[in-house]
Amino acid sequence: MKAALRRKLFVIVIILIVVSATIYGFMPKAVDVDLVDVSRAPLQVTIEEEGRTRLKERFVISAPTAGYMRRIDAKVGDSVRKGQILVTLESLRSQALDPRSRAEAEATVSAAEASLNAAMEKERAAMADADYLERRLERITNLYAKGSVAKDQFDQAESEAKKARAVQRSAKAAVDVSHAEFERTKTTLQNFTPSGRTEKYDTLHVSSPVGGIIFRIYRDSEGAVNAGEPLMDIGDAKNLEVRVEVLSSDAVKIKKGTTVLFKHWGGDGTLTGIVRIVELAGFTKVSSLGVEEQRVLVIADITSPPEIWRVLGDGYRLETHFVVWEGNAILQVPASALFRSGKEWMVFVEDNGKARPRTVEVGQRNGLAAEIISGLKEKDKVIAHPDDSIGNGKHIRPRK
Amino acid sequence: MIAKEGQANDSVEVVFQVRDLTKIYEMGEVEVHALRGANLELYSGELVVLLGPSGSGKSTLLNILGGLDTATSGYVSYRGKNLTKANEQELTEYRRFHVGFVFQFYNLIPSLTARENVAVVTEIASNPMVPEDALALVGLTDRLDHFPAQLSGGEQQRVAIARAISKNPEVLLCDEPTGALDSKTGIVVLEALERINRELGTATAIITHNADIAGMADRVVHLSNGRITEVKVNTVKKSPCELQW
Amino acid sequence: MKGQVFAITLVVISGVATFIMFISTVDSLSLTRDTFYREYRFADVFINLKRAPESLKDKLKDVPGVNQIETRVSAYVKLAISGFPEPVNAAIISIPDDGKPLLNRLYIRKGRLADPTKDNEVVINENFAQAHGFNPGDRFAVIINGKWKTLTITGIALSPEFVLLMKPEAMSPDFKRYGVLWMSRKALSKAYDMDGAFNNVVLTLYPDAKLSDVLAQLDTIVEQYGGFGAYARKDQISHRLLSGEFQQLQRSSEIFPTIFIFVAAFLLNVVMSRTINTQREQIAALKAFGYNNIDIGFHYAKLVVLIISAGLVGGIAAGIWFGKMLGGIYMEVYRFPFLIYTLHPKVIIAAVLISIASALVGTFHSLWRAAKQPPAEAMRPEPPAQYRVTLIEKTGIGRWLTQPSRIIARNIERKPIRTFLSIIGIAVACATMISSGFFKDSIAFMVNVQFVLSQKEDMTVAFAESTSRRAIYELKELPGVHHAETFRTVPAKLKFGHRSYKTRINGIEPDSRLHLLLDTNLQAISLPPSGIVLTDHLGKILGVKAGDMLTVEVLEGSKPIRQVPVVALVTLYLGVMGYMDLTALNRLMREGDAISGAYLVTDPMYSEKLYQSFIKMPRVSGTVLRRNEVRNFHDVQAKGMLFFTFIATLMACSIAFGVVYNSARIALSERSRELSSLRVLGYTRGEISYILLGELGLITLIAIPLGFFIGYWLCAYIAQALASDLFRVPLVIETKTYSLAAAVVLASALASGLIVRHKLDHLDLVEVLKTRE
Repeated sequence: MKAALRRKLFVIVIILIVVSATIYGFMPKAVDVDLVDVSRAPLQVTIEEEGRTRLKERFVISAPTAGYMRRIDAKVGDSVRKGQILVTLESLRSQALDPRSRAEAEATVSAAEASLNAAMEKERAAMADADYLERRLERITNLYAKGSVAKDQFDQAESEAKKARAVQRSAKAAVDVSHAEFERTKTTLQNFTPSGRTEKYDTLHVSSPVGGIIFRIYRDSEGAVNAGEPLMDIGDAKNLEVRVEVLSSDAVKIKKGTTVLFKHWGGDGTLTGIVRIVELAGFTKVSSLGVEEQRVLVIADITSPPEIWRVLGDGYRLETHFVVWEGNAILQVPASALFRSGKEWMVFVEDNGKARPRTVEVGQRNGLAAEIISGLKEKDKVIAHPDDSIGNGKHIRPRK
Repeated sequence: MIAKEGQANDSVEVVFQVRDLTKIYEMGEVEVHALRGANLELYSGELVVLLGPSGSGKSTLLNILGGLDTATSGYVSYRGKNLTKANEQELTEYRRFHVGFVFQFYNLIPSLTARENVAVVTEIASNPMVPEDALALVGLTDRLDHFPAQLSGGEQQRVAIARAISKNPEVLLCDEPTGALDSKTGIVVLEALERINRELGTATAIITHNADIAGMADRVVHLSNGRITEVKVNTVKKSPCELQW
Repeated sequence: MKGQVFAITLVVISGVATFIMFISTVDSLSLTRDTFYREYRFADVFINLKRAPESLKDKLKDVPGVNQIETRVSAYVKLAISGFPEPVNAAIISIPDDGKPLLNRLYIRKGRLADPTKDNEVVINENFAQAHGFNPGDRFAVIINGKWKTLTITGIALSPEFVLLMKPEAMSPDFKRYGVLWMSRKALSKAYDMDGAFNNVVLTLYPDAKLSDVLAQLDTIVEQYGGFGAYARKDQISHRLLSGEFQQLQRSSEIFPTIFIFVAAFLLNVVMSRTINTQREQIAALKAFGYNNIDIGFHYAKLVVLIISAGLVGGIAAGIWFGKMLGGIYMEVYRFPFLIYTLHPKVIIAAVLISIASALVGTFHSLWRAAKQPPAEAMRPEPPAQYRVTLIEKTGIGRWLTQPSRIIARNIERKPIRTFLSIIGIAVACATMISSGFFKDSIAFMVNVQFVLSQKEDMTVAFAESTSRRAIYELKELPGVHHAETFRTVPAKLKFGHRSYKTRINGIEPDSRLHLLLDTNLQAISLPPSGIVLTDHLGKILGVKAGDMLTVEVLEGSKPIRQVPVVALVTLYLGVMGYMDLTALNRLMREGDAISGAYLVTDPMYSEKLYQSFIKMPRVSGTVLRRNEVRNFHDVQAKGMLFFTFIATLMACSIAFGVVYNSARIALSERSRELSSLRVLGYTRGEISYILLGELGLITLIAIPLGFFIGYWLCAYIAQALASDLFRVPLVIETKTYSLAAAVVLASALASGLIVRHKLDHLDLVEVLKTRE
């Protein structure tokens, strides 16, 4: 009897085990989630835009005259004192010594001389013409005064005489030009001396008007330069400002004195700065994505110690973050924990191993975190990145 | 109703009472009347032989007595309990606790040893013997762990008997127990039955078509054509070894 | 016997049906595809370039091997559809002004081609039209080359070029957000200032043309015109994906029916040997009457063939029906104008031959024995079965067993092979269920890893050309944009040794929060500041490992060729790509800070406003919502998945039911005698049920964990077999799948058990006492 009962029991137990094992498999498993504490921490809301550095005061060293510049050995980034000699110019020296150039120069001289002679001939001819026509005019004037010639004739003679004088004058000018040209070609030929560099030249030194750093060198190799050609920029490194073209809708949030952070500037860490000017007038610009936008120029100064950002040059790009709002000990959650439900924002809170939706009121937010005004308290745990598999009452467990 | 001679009715317990028992069953389109209103009493402790040719209804009667089959009409009671009105569950219970069966073809479980075949029954009985004792009663102590395939016909039948009585039944029903055996083996089997009937006092009913076997019974019930034609009392009970066929 | 034959027939039907279903679907789709390609002149080679004069066409045509050639103008446009605020893009392609494209012809479903004299008419593709409910005459707006234009739909068409329409970098089709427009060449050229010029070429080759040579020569010619690399049909996205699907179907047609046929053969073997055994006397009698062995053998062989035939008829009918259904499901995604359903006779013949052959092989042994048996021996009763004390009992558990349990144990051990095969049969049913759930689980996992864990952006904005990094500030300041990150993506050819692969390199911001690279433990890997990270599958294709130097040939911009060290290989499930730090990539390109687009986190309340802003931005070529990518993937897979799950469940049930029911019935017929005897001895119905069904229950309970094991390895095999360039299937099986498989098997077993139990309850107790065996 007992054996039969035992067997019945055994069968029932087996059935129970099998059924419950099967049912267990169907039971919903706890979903792995990332849980984050709601905490108090500083929060910053920033507006980001790309900015460019610019030297506030820039001194351009240019060649005072045409000349032959000696090689500039200084490098960008070198510091210079006020009065330090930056560039040395010599008067234009000869070109290459090659015979062909010299032959050309000689030929040019000959041609110029021939032109001059031709011009002088022309002038003589013009003078002869003019003289003749003037004497004729005198005679006709006398005749006209006596009434022996028609007015017509008189006029004609007068005009011809005037014309001849003009021609003569212009011929004379042409001679002057030819003469100058002739002189010039002769000077050029003079430069072709077989001896080359042994001549002595006059040198001209250009010195720096201020102390600072060389920001840019336009040309450093020796050679002829024209008068006024820019050679290098000198500036005071400390006088670097950052210019940012901000969307006008964002610019209203920025004012003088707004803190600025500069990232990705080429060195480690973040630089700090402060907004100096927010221009009042906006301008239209086509954006990178092809849309016309209204932008406003904002200028900020770098407040970090200059030694840190020595390497910054002029026209460098920086990622500029304007801190438009800042708070300390702000109750916040990761921005990814929030999701919309109709018009409200909600999060999933962990409650005894289950997920519970909670409506929250959100204040300030940036890309990473959002301020919670109401709905959560410190030490609550919320699910970061809730996806469709999370629902009210779902079992959850923190991901390892 | 024919009473047992020389015995007052009240002093001996009636084990079975059969009244107007009729069994009709259908074979295709033909109705077969296996029993036509049989009447009988069987008493405790006696050995009865149901004798008759094939088709006489003896097997049908035994089956109904054993709760294997249901009557078409009539009344059967076992110790006052109405078997004809019993449902399937009650009949199963009745067979389980009160009746021992022995069949012509032994019907042993081929996958169990002799001992285990007996244990099959003792496990579900309310007041059983130890299987080894039952097998000892039939003289098979040295064959306890043999499978039926390893036993001779007679040995198998003896295991069947041991199995039948191991539950200490009040009634032992045997349907042609020697039908598949030769006479020598058959006698051994009958001896076992006789001994049990004598030592344990179990009321025993044996079906056979062999009249010689009837000699060992207390009473012989003759059946023919579905009716009980005669109930004879054996004044002298032969012992099985004296039987010949 | 009827029930058993029914169960076997069911298994045969399932096997034949799946075989026919898969193969007929592949054949039908192949035939449809080949017909469509041929009749509508699908090109062999495709070239995209920046701009070339029409006169170049002759030079291209002169390349040996080129047969027919057609120049086209193509572009990528943004659409604004009223009533549908989300971003929509389309490829726009020119049709010759005479309306007759030489290659990649259009099948016009409705309406007509665009009138070349008008510049505001288009033909659109059918999927797109259906998704939006467009009909000829409807209108929508496009931004063509920076200008707004309202276009009128004149016709709806299909093209062999776009059987599967998918945006180039997308993971699955999105019929609502990406379409194809066909406009007359004149109108399109005018809009893009391409009069007398083209930027797209399609051509066909002669059969004996050497593909690689032709491509190389074409590339040389178009290089100076900004050629992006000619590619052949096999790399054309529609064709490639279609071929991939065919391959999968082919594989399925090999795996699943095989399982069935084996099971059917096994079941037939058991049933036939049983039948033959019970009919030994009749066989002997026939032999005594002079029938020879061959006649006997034939007779039973005929019985086998009869059973198989019933299964074949049902299976072929079911296979055709399912095949048409499956074809219909494919047609929703792969747009052919028509489906030519075809069932080659040789497929049917194959099914017939395979089924009959396996059945006969399976039953061969029994038939042989029947044929061979000398009559006299057959007359004698079968010798009794030999039983032994089981091994289990010898370990000591025997003491605790009741006799009924002992009977179970002894029976199991008596015919170990048969028991073993029954267990295998049920285990296979379980494994089949697991493999169907596996598809769903692994795809869900893949999508989760790719689109939820790895990508956290809400929208991805792509620029028409690489743009200055400044654009990111502009995007960040749009109302509703909470966070933005830049990315750069360049097409490149990666070379290592003699192997090469054309793909894209993605440059992402180093401390990106929106696009993460995850390793196999789903932890984020930080991108190294230099060097390239490759998908591990790509690593395998190229034969590279971490530390090797890869040659990168950029196919854009100044087309630099550089050596880049491979820093790591990551396991990604979708796509084959390279990843680099954005700055490193720009350095490689020797360009400043250029970006190809941005990932945005946005506020849903501002979504529509943002879409409108993006449409108006000329440099923004398209916007993609991550949410849509996920949904599309699921939608497209869903129907097919449902179908396969349905089929697999049917299969599993029929096998489980077939095997259990057969075992139960055979056990019942073999042991009805002893069970009836036990009933006579006073055992209740429940108790003898335990003996018979307990054995079956034990077999089932053993089979289920074994089924889990087999299922796991089957899925591993399938995962590895399905791996391709487009995606790799992770081996993910949820506990739910295991449970479902177990439940289905248990339910089938329970059902057969109940049927057998019903028979047990009605055992004729009297009858059993009269028979010898």
